[in-house]
Amino acid sequence: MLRRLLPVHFRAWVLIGCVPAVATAVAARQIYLSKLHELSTWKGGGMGMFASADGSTGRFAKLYIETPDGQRQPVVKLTPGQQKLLASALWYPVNGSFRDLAASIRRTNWAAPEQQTPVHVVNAEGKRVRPAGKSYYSLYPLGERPKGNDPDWTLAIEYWNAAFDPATRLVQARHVWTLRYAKGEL
Amino acid sequence: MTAQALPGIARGIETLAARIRDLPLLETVAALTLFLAVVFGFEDTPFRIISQLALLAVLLHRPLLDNPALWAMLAGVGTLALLQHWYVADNHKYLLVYWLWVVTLASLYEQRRDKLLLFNARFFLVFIFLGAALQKLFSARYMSGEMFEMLLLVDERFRAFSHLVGIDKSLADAAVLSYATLQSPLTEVIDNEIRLPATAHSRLVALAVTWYDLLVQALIGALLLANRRVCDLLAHAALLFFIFTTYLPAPVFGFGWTLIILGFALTKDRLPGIALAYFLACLAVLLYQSPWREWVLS
Repeated sequence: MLRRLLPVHFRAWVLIGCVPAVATAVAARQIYLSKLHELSTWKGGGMGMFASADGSTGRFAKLYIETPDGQRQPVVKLTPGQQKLLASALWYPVNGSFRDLAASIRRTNWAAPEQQTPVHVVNAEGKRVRPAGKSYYSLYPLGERPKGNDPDWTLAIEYWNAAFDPATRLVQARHVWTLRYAKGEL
Repeated sequence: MTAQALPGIARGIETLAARIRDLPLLETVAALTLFLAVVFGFEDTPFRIISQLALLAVLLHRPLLDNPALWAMLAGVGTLALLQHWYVADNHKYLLVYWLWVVTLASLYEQRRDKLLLFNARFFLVFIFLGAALQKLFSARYMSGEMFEMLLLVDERFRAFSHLVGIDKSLADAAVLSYATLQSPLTEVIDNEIRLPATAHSRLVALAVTWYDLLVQALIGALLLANRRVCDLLAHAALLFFIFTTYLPAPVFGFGWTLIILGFALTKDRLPGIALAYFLACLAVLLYQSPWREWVLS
């Protein structure tokens, strides 16, 4: 096909240059997604590994289960599989990337200790300064739910990123967005 | 004694370099690429099975090493694995897939296979290094030294390296604890900011690594882009230095192996002495997998 359509010299250059052309297009797409859609500079074929502080160290998530009565409890422990899914999703923290993690969390039974953990306000030096006036049950995984038993709560995933200022030695965390996965959405 | 040994060593190096020059380019590059695919390839089951079967086939029947169907199959299954995990895959996995397609095309296109391999090897080295250098240059968060200081203080993978360059383990432990406090849903950190126990020394090390990494990458890319013999000599010396120094602290051995293949392809005929050094770099990358980090930390 290629032989009939293209002159010999041009055909040679198509064969020699087609892989570099694809690589360049992939890198251009990576730069676009990285600038506008939070794809990490480290990933996506843009050759930007170690090129910016938006690797796995600078990104994290806080997960909460929100019940219909308006309560909100943090998920403090994930299964190893869920930790892997979370780490993957944080490289490109959009709705589609978190779906597998959300589905897995919704399939899991969550248990809580009898006592609530009080929340404290902490200063920049890491010292507790006062109680925050609220407390949470720290949820941890306890096996899988039976199939077809979709719980009535909503999973909220807060995506955060952190920037370090070498002059002040302060790490500042910024809440970027929250994604919610309610009953029947997955 | 030394004076007698030196000419012998020099003769030995010359013989080895001549042997390297006599190797067929495609077959040697294909053998190194097959090793890369089997040892440092994708973790996906289909890719592992296909790459291991390809290795077995080549061991039983060596002419298969430049068989286009074998390479197309590997490139195809690699592409599928990459598409499945495109935003999680490291850059060297992208490079692996690109290079598998390059070897496929080279095995198909007999008349100009060497030209195809040489052009693509040079392109990808320039692409990797100038691409990385440009991304760094335009990233304010890279140029401030912020990234490497964070990595040195709170990233587990850099713990042994930090210790090796004089950053105390207790400092890194305190930094990890502070950072975990900031991430915890069970604390409310005022203004969402927390101080890391960074020091003037950690700052100095971070800035040194930041500038070294940028300059060495820009230098390699720019010199290879010039495509002159002297520039190539300097570029390969810098690339070998980069491989020997970078993959000791950074455990990205597949990337190191890919760079070795690309460098070897460019030097085999023109600079066989340097091609020999790339073979030594292969050994270094394999040795760097030893658990030296655990030794340092213990």
